[in-house]
Amino acid sequence: VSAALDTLARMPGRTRLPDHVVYRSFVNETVVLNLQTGRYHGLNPTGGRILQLLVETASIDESAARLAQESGRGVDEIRADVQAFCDDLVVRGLVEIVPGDD
Amino acid sequence: VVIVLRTDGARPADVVPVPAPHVRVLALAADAAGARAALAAGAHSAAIDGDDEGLVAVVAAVGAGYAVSPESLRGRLSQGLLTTREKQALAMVVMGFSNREIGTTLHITETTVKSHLSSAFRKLHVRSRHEATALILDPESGAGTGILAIS
Repeated sequence: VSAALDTLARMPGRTRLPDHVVYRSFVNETVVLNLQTGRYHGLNPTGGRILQLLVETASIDESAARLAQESGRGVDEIRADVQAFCDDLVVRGLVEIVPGDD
Repeated sequence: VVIVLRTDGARPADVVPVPAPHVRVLALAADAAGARAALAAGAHSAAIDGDDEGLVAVVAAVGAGYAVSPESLRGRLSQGLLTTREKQALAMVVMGFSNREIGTTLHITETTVKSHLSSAFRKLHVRSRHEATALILDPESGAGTGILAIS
């Protein structure tokens, strides 16, 4: 699995929400629904914000930059967190990476 | 043959036996949450422990092949009858999506969405989106989002 994630991390592409996934943000939680499995996934506010940025910007780098700006943390540190979180979403089928400019 | 099983405090999955032909399992649980867990673990029917008078009728019904559950779990036994489309539409209703949004996501018309939801509501014995959401999410007696799982 770690080898696959390493490959994923190096893979150029754009992040997007698969057609079978919908999400909705509430006050303290973002709920993500995988329509293929009927399973709900709950994200805390930070996770919800990252998902929103990944969908809006379609880019891990841009998401990390926006999040760094919003939180006042270093972009390098945040990029690793965003990458790891995105990898997790990809493994769960909640985000996909499509070919394109990184 | 009807096996009447008191789940007590045990995990229903540990005490509900593997189903065998001609054997039906009726779980007696302390409350609605226990009954729900027993049904999820594979019991054919569930009742609230302590209602001895009603139990005779319940055992007779289960023995005759009927599915029985407490009224507070109304709709729980119907979960397996939901189609994939009904589960998908219902899952989005629970999240607060409109029929139009559901139709756009599932690539079906609003009329078809209404048709799927009407069918799901009928099977779950609820009359509205609000009742359907409560049936699934109510922390005390809700059936849980597991009834929307697609295998």
